[in-house]
Amino acid sequence: MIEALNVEKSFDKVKAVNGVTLKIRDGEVFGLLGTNGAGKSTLLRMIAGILIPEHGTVCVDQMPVYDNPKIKKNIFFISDEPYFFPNSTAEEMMTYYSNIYAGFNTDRFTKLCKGFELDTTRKVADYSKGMKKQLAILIGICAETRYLLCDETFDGLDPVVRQGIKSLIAGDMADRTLTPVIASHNLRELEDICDHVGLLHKGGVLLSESIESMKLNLQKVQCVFASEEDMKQVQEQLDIMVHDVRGRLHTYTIRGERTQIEKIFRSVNTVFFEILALSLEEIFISETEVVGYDVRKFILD
Amino acid sequence: MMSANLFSTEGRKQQKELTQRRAWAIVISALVLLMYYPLGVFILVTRTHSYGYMSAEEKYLAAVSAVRGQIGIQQFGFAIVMVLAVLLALQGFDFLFHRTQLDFYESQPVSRKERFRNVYLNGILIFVALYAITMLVTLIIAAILGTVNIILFLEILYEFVRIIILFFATYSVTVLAVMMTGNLPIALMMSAFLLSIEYLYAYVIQYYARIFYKTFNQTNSSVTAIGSPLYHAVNAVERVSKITGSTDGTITQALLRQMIGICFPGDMITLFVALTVTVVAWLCYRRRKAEWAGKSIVFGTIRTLVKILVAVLAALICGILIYEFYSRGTISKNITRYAMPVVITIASVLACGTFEAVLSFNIRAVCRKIWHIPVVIVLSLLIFGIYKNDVTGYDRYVPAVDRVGSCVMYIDGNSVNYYEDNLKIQSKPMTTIKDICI
Repeated sequence: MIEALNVEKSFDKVKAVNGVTLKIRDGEVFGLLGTNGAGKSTLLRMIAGILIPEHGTVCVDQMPVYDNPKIKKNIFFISDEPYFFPNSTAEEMMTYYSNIYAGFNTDRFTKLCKGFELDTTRKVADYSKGMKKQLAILIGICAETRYLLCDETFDGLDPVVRQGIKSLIAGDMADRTLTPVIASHNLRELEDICDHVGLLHKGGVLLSESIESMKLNLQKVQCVFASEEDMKQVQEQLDIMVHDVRGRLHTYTIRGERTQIEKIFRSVNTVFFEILALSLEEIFISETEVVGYDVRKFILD
Repeated sequence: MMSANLFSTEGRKQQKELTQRRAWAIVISALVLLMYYPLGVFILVTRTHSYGYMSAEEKYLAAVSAVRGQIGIQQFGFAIVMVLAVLLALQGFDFLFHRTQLDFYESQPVSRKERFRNVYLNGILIFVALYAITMLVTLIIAAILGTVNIILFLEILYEFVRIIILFFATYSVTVLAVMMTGNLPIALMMSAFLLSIEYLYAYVIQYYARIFYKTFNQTNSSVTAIGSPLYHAVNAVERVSKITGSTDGTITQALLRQMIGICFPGDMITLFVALTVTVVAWLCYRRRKAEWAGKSIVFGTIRTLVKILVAVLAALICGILIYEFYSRGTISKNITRYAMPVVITIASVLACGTFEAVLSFNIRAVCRKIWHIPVVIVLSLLIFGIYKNDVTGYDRYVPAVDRVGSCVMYIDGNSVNYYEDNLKIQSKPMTTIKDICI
């Protein structure tokens, strides 16, 4: 299990991570979501043992991870900009990693590279950006560590490769209880792979919940009220996160259970109302909007 | 960069793996060493064969001298060795300057201690191996050309150890510079700073003594920078050249012993500096954080200290320049001397701003940390004032008659000012002390 307890990290005078507390259980896919500069990469780099927290602790399997090779042998970190030795080939990188990670599966790596059509004898420098990312992910998977930390890893991959990688991760989770932690902006990517999501904003955790319960506790309702009184009556009873009005059409993002919300709307006169499914992206926008991060502001300004 | 003892099979494997990734540095080092040593010896020795006016014995001595000059204690190859040490240290620890490489290395299951040890030793091992091979090839060439004798062999052997110590010290100082900085250009500057600052300060301070002390005699007070490996390397060559210059080229066992005796204390200090700096570099590495990659000088206190030291030095040098520019002209020396504090003050302000801009990578940062400016002005003027007003009482010192064995008058340099009416007096030791000390 990965645990971050009240972790803080600053770069110069900017607080990148501010009092983050998170638990990542073994065997679940944890998605780290966040606005730009929210501290996703910083948190991931602390979990990988690259950065040392200023306050708090980051423990993996109840041991501090920083400068701890015993724990680090269970972790593989895939950076947003993977590094390969100059003039090296995929084969050479494989040899290097097989010396570092005792469980590195070279046969599997060769087979996967063939499957993903990566020429292992070609210089990595000549690969495209997407191919380099593929190679980094394949190395990470073949290292066969218990934890796989991916920083914006799926960006730049074509849909077919992305699906292939997801299948590999799912397979490893089933076979050897791999625990992937994936930081991304691409919410649609995380929606279909993650079990649990941690939402970071300005260095702090806005929420950390399973996607299922997140969807169960957040509803989007479109409604046309018969009168102003009906609207006021409904609004008094709801925990409204976002309210948007276009003409007579009101769109709400509301915290609460679907049945409860449905009951409230049915108790007043409405011309029309409908409860819509919320995507992870909408949840992300709603949650961050509540704390003042309104994407529309940028567009309007 | 994995864990294992250097002398175990795993350790050797790791060193081999690390070495493979440093091919270009090895190739450059090998080429430079081969060009300077074996090729240099071959050219110099074969050239002596064409000296038609010499007897066979004179030719032999000239050839041996040529070999000695190239790979013996008097060699100037130490400068090349120092450059290679800087190159290998910078290349080895270059990963500390790049975030992507730090993410790559620091996320791997290797302790920081092992990583430092492996990379640190790798640079030294590369040089020792290359230098040993180069020396062997050079010796074979010299032997084929018939110039190697037992004394020369012993001298070369001792010089081999000296060069390794010098490399070790320069390499360690550069590693320390890397640990204290966050990017390559600043690391290079820091390395130059650490290697030369004591020497430069000693030189500048002595210059001020020469300007302001009437009794200061430069010929008896050469610049000393006790903690500088560069100083000990240069000093050894200078001092050994003095004693070998008075011979016909024949180096006897006694002379060799004398030469080693001259070099040995400096070499031991250099070794001590190397060991101390290695420990400091390791401590800095332990405290160094991954997020410091790309910064200039990563430790705030050291940044301030370096900036102030460099700015004070620059201000003092400007003071010397203004003195040198005008003191030989029609302008009175006194006027120049009074102009010096003004120039030093202006130079302090400019140097402070410039170095702040360089260290911040931002030209607009010239006015940042403005409190450094008065500190630099005060320190520069303090040093100037100490020499200008002879605070230490250098000129006031008169030794007791019974403590003077002999004395001499020099009419070069600043002593001209002191003995203005005696310009024609030649340097001549005087032993009738009582006649002089009235």
